Amino acid sequence: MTESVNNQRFEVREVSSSDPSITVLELSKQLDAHTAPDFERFLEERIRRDAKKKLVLDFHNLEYISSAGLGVLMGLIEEVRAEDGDMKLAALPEKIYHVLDLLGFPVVFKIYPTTEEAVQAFIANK
Amino acid sequence: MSRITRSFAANYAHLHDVRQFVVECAEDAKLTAQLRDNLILAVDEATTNIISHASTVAPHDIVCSCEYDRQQFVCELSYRTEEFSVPTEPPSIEEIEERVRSFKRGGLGVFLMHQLVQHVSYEREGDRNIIRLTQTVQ
Repeated sequence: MTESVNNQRFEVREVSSSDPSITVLELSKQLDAHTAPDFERFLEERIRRDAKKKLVLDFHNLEYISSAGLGVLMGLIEEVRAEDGDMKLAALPEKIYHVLDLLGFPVVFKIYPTTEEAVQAFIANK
Repeated sequence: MSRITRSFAANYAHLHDVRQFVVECAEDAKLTAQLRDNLILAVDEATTNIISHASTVAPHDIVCSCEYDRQQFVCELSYRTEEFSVPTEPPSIEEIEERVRSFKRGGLGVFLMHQLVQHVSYEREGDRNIIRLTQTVQ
């Protein structure tokens, strides 16, 4: 099982959560067409192999995202929601939020100012 | 007007290098952070499209040129290929919103490119395709 993805250009790792039923994943560095496949494999393992259905993606350390990275989220959100789960996005830097906003992502994905608020939203079943 | 040119391998692993090149030119042109970030992403999306769609791109043959003065910043990507094969027409905002709602990935990059810079043009010169991304600075 891949515990984290850590290469020179992109990192994602599972971090501790205040609720063990909720998985918090911290993204760092740059998510583009080169690094997106690694991110996709990592997410797929969490969702399919580990049966993680309540995911919070923490963006506060992410420096860059392109449509390739957003495509990974779009490719898996339907699967997660089909099993009563969700993928919530948290702590987006302004320039990252700008990209998601251009594509209308806030209509489809719930976005929270902090990771803890996203976790609490799962607990409150929002 | 300043013009700086660099060649990159047609490989996703070099997207970071392409972006870094645009950063250097944008900083030399003293662009605002917003314009700089928009250009970086637009060039990334254009380069990604070239690599993913133009299957016959000669290796080590994406030539990126940034030309700029106080009024305008133009980034040009040219590459040798048999035909013009990258998507050129951006989907509408309504199509993009529907694709996002339906969790369909395609077309996001082309749409973003057209949203991020003022003008995108596609030309063919000899055996090379040329994509130009133009942004007015003032």
